[in-house]
Amino acid sequence: MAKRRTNIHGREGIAGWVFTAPAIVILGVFLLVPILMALWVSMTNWTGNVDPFGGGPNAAFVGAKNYSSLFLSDGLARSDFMQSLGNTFYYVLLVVPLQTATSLLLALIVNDRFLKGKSFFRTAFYFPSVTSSIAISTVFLFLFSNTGAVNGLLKLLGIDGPEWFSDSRGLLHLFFGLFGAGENPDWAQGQIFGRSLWDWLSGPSVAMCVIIFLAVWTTTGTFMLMFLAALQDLPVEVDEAAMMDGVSPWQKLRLVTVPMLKPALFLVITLGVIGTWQVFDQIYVMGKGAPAGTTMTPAFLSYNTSFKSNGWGSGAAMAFIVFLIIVLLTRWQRRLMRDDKPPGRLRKTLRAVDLMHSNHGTGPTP
Amino acid sequence: MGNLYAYGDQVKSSNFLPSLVKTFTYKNTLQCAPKDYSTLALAINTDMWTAAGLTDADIPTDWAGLEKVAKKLTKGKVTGLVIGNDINRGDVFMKQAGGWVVSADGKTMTADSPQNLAGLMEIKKMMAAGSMKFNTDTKPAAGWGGEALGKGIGAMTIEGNWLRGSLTKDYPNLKTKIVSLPAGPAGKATLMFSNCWGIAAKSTHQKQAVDLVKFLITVDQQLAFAKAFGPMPSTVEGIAKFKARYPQDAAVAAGGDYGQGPVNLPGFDPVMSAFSSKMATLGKGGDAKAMLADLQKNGTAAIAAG
Repeated sequence: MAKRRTNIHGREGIAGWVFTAPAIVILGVFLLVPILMALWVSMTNWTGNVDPFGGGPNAAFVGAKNYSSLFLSDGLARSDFMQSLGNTFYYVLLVVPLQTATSLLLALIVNDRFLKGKSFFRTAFYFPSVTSSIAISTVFLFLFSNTGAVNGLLKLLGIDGPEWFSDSRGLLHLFFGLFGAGENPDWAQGQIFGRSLWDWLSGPSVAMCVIIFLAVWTTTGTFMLMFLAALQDLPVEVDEAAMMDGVSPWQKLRLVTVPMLKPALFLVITLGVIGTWQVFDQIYVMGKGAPAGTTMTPAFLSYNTSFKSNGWGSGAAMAFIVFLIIVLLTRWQRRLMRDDKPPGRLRKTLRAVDLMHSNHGTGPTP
Repeated sequence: MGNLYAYGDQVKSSNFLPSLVKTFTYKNTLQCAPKDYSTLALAINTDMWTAAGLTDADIPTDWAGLEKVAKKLTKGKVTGLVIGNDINRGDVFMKQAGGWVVSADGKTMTADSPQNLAGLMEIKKMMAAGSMKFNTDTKPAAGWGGEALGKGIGAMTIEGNWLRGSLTKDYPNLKTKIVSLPAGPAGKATLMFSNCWGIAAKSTHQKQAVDLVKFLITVDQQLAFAKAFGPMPSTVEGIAKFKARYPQDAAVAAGGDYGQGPVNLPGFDPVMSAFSSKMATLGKGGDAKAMLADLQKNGTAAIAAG
């Protein structure tokens, strides 16, 4: 049977364009055009003072030099950028799983049919997400200060808490130290992009851990809501069938609930990856990269390079590199999550059954 | 090609201090008129000083003396000497040891010299002995050296002119004495901070701006600023009048003769800020030699690019 063509044409088409035109214009002018302009700037050596499109010595086209100097030329730009990439890599590695797991756990708890005061808990868990990130960062500055509440609590437990914001020692370094690895051992002197292997393996610094706590605490609420919505959409019959089959709660979670939450899981992880690679507010309030550059992230470095050092070309190049990293990570993650029961196989089975029916014209063979 | 309009030759007759002229001269042209300056000195909490049994004779004149009094003043929760955790305090030790970040003509990096290392090792030595701490490492942490002094977290601090004004405002009951910094192995040294009146290269009112600047650098105006919030006049005549009027600030005023200005070379902002960030880890096992090596490497690249 020929497929009916569903073209919208005539007055419906024009009406469609008229309704979407304002949004297209706004997105175009305020989003697309500035991005293209930034792409141009990332290929110049603009110092911020003159017209970036006018050429001249302060806005000369330098091609891919900004990009290559961030990876290939030995200098402060590269070492700062590599350090920021390393810091953010550990930050993402810790924050995304933690916040996904915590928000899923909270959603499961709040979704419990027998829980009293559900709306109170929902509000309480969601509250940090709607509070200003600057306000929360400032409060955390007080909480984690040398004589703040956190260290006070640790002292009650007999632990002498670290000076959180001035401690630049990496967690992995401390871990290796437990096994006797000294400061800067010989086996870790290989250089990757100008940074020694030992530096790459530093793990997040103690100061970065504070920001990790903050990020997990703040964003869990938003993702909890997404999981909650997905959980409430799950068919109750599947749950009941699983319980009648006699699975333990942990097995039910692992084999029934989580696979059915795959779309929500994909959304949460993608948003998590995008958000963590762009972290800026917290870095700006809580140290601006200190101590010793261990809380530096590419987003903040890009801002610093552009606005403080007038290196707009380099700053824009960093932003585009981070964009590429996020796109690659999201695609890789999508491929990873798609590889489960490919729908192709199911469709082939159904078609085979269909063929059998049409060939024999009888019911299902015994 | 820059952002500033170099009008230095129009104000040369004001007779600025030679060290200030040097700080604001780039490519052999004076770029702008120095506004004022401040130097670092040692501020002592006199109550804690006398309580520790110290007298005027114990005021440190060299590193050994400083170590001794800092140790004596470190008692209980009080640290003898608390300083800011960046290059604007730490670098003074490097200068006192006879080294500096760049050469006098600003053309070569001298960061990895043994003198600089000696200066940083002195900081590490006092920190290891517990008699000196950065303001971020004290319990409770202080926002800056002045707050550490005012709140009794430290018995001494190294700060500049602005300290007096801020202590009067925030900690009026604190009794302090300001003395010159002790000399290092290479003699007396302090850091000098200054600003200049910058006129934009793209301004359409440059003549009027220069006229305004000429008014603002007159001796009376600069002394009015000094009275209001502390910085010292940048002209020779102005500073002479300042010394006569405020004898209790003789220590900071004298610093102008041998003070070292900050590194003003183009492209050095990220280099110095990276070094500053690393310097803050000196009290926690930071590697002084590695820091200086990095500074040398990055600075050389910046000079070559600029």
